[in-house]
Amino acid sequence: MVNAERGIKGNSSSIHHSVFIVHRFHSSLPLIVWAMTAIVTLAFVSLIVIAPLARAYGHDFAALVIYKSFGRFCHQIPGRSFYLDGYPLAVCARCAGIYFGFAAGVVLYPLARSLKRSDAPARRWLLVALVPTALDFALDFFHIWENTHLTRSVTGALLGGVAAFYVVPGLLDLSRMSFLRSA
Amino acid sequence: MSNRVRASLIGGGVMGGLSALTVVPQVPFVRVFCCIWAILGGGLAAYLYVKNSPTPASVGDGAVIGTLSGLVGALIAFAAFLLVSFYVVVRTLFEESIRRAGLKPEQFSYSMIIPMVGLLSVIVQIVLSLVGGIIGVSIFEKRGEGGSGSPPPPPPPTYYGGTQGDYTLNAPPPPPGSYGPDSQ
Repeated sequence: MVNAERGIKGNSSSIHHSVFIVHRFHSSLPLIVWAMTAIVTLAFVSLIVIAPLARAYGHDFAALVIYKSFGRFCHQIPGRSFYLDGYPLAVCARCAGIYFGFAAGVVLYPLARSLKRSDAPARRWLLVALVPTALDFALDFFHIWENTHLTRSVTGALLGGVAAFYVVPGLLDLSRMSFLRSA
Repeated sequence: MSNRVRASLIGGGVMGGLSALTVVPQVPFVRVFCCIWAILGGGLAAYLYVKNSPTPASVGDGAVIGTLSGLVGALIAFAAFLLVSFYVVVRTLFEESIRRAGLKPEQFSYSMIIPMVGLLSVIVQIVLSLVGGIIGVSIFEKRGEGGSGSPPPPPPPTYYGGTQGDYTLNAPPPPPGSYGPDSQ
C-alpha cells in the first residue's frame, strides 16, 4: 500500500516535472526560433560578402560556387554592384540592400515587436515599403531619373527590413503550430 | 489531394518552369526578374491556398505552403539546370564566363562545380519561396487577422450524457468551477 502510494507520488512528480519542462520550452520557443532565424539569415547574408573576399584571398573555387549560385537570382552586373577588396559582391546593390535590410530587420525585430505575437502587421505597410523601390526602378527604367548605388540599396534595404516583420511572425506561428501538433 | 498540396504543386510548378528558363542563356527576358520568380511562386501558392481554404489561413500556413512550393520549384529548376549544364549548353560557354571573371577554367572541375551550384541554388530558392508564401498569406488573407495569434474559437457545448445531440435540451446545469464565465 505504502509502495503504491509512493509510486503514485513518484509518477505525479515526474508528470509535474515533464509539464514544467514543456511549459518552459513553450515559453522560450519564440526566443529560440528568433535566434535561429537570425543566425541562419546572417549566415546567408555573409555569403554575399564572402564571395569577393574568397576571390581576393585566392579561394577561387568557393568564390565561383557562390557567384554562380547567386547568379541565378541576380543579374550581377558589375556596374551596378558594390565592391569589396576589388571584387563585386555576390549580388547587385539593390539585392544587397534587400538582403542586408532583411537581416537587420530580423536582428532588430524583438526591439520593435514582442516575440509572443505571431500575427503579421497590416499589409499596407509592406505596400508602402515597396513604393520607393518601385519608384526608383521605374524612374530609371523610363529614363526620367538616373538612380545610384545609394538609392538602389537604401530603397531595397527599406523593403527588406519591412519584409522581415512579416516573415518572423510567420516562422513564430509555424513553430507554435508544430509544437502544438507534437505536444 | 489536399488544398495545401495542390496549391504547393501549382505554385512550385510555375516557379520551377520560370526558374528553369533562367538557366537557358538564349532566353534573356526571364533573367531580368531574377529572384522574383521564387518569391512569386510562393506567393501564388499562398494565394491559391487562401482562396480555397474554408478557414482563415495563418502566416504559419504561408510558411508551410511557401516551403513546399519552393521545394517543388527548386527540384524542377535543379533538374533543368543539370540538364542544360551537361547536355544543352556547350562547356565552352561556361569556361568563357569563368575566363571573363579573370579565372583559369583549367583549375576547376566542371562536374563538381555544377552540382554544388545547383544545391546552393536550391537552398536559396526554398528560402525565397518561404518568404513569398508568408508575405502572400499576409497580403491575400482578408478574413480577419487569422493566425494562431488571434483569439481561439469558442469551445464546443459540453456533452453531459444522454443521447448524442440532445445536450442542449436535457443537459443538467454544469458543475461549479467548470469552463465558463463564472469559473475561477
